[in-house]
Amino acid sequence: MIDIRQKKRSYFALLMPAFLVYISIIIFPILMSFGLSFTKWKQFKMVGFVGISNYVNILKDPVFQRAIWNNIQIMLVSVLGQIPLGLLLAYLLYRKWVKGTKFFEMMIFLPITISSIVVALLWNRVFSPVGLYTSFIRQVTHNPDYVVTISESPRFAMIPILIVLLWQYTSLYMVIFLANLQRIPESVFEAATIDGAKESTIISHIVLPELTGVIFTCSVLAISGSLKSFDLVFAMTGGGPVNYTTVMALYLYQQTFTFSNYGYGSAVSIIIVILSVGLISLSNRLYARAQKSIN
Amino acid sequence: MKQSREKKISNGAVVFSYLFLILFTLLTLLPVIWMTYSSFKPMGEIMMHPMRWPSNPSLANYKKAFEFGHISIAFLNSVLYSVIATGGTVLLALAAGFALTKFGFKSAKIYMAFFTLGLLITVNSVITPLFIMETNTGLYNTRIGVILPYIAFGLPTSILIAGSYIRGIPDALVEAAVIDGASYTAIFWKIVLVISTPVIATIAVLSFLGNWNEFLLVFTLTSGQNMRSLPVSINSFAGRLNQDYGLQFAALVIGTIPMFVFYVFAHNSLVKGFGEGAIKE
Amino acid sequence: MNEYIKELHMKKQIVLAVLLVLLGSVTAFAAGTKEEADNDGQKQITLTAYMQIDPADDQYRGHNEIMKQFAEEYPDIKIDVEYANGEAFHQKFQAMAASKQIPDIFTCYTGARSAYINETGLVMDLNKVGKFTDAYKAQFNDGTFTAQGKNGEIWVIPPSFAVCHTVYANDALLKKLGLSYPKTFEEWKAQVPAIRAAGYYPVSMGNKDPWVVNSWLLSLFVDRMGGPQWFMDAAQGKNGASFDDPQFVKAIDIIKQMCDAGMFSPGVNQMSNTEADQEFYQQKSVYLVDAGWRTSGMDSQLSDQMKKDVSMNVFPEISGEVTHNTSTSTPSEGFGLNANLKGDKLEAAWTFINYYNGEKGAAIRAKYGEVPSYKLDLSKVAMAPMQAKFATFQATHKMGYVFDSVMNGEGVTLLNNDLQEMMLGKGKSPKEIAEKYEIWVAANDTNRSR
Repeated sequence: MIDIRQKKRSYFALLMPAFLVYISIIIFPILMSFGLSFTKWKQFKMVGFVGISNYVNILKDPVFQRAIWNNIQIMLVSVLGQIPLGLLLAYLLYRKWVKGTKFFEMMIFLPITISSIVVALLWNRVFSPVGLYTSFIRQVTHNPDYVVTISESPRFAMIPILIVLLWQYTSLYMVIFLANLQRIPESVFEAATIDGAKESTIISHIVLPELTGVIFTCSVLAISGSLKSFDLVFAMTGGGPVNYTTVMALYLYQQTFTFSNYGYGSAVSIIIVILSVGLISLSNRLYARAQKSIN
Repeated sequence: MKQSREKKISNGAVVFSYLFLILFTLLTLLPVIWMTYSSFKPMGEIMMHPMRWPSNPSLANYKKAFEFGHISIAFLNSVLYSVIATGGTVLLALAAGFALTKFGFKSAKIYMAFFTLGLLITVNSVITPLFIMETNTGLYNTRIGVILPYIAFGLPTSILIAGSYIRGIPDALVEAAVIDGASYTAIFWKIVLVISTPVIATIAVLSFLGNWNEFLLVFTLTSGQNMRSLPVSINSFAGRLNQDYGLQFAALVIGTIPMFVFYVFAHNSLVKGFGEGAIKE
Repeated sequence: MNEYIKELHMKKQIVLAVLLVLLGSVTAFAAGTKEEADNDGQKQITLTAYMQIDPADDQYRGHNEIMKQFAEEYPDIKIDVEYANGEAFHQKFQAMAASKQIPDIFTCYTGARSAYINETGLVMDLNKVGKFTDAYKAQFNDGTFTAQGKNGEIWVIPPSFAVCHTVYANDALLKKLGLSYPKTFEEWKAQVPAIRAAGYYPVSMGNKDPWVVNSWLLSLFVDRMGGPQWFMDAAQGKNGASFDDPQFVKAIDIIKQMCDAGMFSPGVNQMSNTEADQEFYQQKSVYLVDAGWRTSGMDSQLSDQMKKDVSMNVFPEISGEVTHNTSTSTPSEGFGLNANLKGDKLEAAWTFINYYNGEKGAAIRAKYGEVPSYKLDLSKVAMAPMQAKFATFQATHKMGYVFDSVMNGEGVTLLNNDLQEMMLGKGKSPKEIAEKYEIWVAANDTNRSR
């Protein structure tokens, strides 16, 4: 038998390497940021403590408010679009109803292997006023003045970006779901089919309950990813035109590196963290409730 | 759509599956195919006739990419960074995932939440303090100085995924080994790692991906040509005032291929791991 | 099951062993590669440099050649250069500046863009190093030695001037349409219906980035409607000038008039520079608003016929303008020196700066089409067609200030956003935009505190 002390030692032996690396690289700098967030900088010198006024100004800034709204749009597309689509794709592949599942899987996974900068470049060539899509529509409708006006409307400017995000990340969730689907023993499926169960029953009674945990994990990943979103938006639109497609991470970048408002920028990163914590604990609670209702 | 009593599924479902998968695959592949054949065209042709097949396919872009981007050493660096960081991430994440799900200590919840916090931190917000720290500890412009942050940033996601998977391993398995007299560390090496093949593959693929295409950290934390990774070398082609798409595409094709090859291999092991029916009651 | 697990277990062990070996070897790597000892024994001086230059870009062929020549002529001075591009250059440099570890030589802008180094005491004042006698200064074009720092410091010797406003015109197209380059703004607006009827776009401009309309249009309008003296006064808040004056409102209003008259091709605010250029190169539009430095790209991309057809002009006459026929330019970024350099290293670095900006470097750069700040007899240099036109352009137009070189970046970006929104047909009126900007400048801009 193992005594409790040995158990504790193993516990820490397994946990500490990850923990130490994590603390030094991520936590420590964040604490520095936290401290900085209460300061004001002018001309690259810190000129004083300003309490929470940075935070207040950020939340009052209409540009930041728009950024939050854009992040929320990304989040909705991720949780309500990428995850269900990924699940559907994984399921179709797993059930092997088509030949060449391996081929499909590999092809669908391709977008993620491409860096966001490239993806942005590619799709810019499609949507821009001189792009493939625009030329196509111009030829079809005989209207030489057509442009993708969605990008110029404050309400819908995010849509091209959302489409590209869907294209890029759905397969990520597909892969995760696939790995977890493969954990369900084949025998269970066989038994159910022999019993004559309909597909929908299989899905609702076997697959979904098994996967709730994973779906939840994926949602957490999706939410955090949405709030951190930077690379693609930066490369596709840079937040423009005007500020229609800005997101919180872009706002942070602009304030910290372009305008050198270090104190203000630090406060933005802390706000992002706080928002994410809030959203994730919210989903935690929803998940716990869902778990209860399933049991 | 009627379900027959045997193990056949309805035709409608098959048709739907084919259509859906083919559509998705097409959407996925077309832009990439376009990028690939465009890389054999000079910049002018790409801009003026974007859709056309190259009229004079040439390797000029690739040559220039190798010359100016010092691609060979950048490639080697990318491999080093990605492979080692991925290995480190997999090991540390699985260890932590095991510790936090199968030991039953109360503190596990707190640690787990703590790691989850890391999901919310963007590289941008820690890059300046990180730079200062690395300069002061002499880690600036070293390979370790890049690999450690890569591991650190990969940990939150990987621990989450690993934890969620390991939680699904039957407790009975672990308990039986304990009764047999195995230490927990032994259980980790001999049982957990072995059974977690699918999730190891998932974490490896995801980490490798994130690390391979990563730009900002390598760019800021290294300065020498011989430390550069592929994305950093490639980015140097996106000049501020002038963008040679052909050159960039060529460099990107060079950069994407290894990633894809890696995925193919990892995927094979993933499928194999399942195919042997690792988990049976 | 045990058999199977044992088998997999062995495979795992091998994989893990390999990983550990790799990890071990990386530590060896990591330790070993930091040094790049370059001891040739003799008094070779090594300088570190960080430059915002893309050596793969055609535009910088001159730079590449200078570096090569310099290495040949001065074998005892070695320069270790790290190259970077765009925003990434600034981001990393700011991190370097924050930890006070900057290289010996680096790209530095004359104004606010590089404030993170030139206003934090990290850059050497070249007045102390070079002997800027009048005779010395006379070797360069006017404006090269305008004071850059608050107290008259010179951070860099600008190698050339960046011209930020040019209206390129496709003369052949104009002729085909029975038109010619307009003399007045009203005339230009009147051309629009004819151009569109013939199936062309009037003006291309790549207004996607948050500085374009400011740099390329507003600066010019400010110069024309207010003049350089008024602009400086408004920037510094002297003599009662401020940005809610009618001159500034009028300047903004001209942009609005251009949009209302339908002068721009559709999607102007979504197009990158490259895309707008392509529209013009492919003869889909008649005019192109761009910067002067586009000429080097034009020389490599345009057909010979096009090079003959494209002319370089400035904005036509605007009624009520106080300056005429002007363009705008700003000293381009150059190389600054680390304030801590002394002795041999300082001498070596100064030698490099002199070489680059002086006669030898200027001649090489002129060869590749750059119009250097050093006075050269350009008629002796064989220049590419567009570059030659550019040289003539610089000689025949007086230059006003570039707005975003003088004013603080954050305010300019906010202003640019307002302008873009106005161009989309939404947002505030020119008067409101001007007033909003003035409020920001009065509260935040460092020019006001000089």
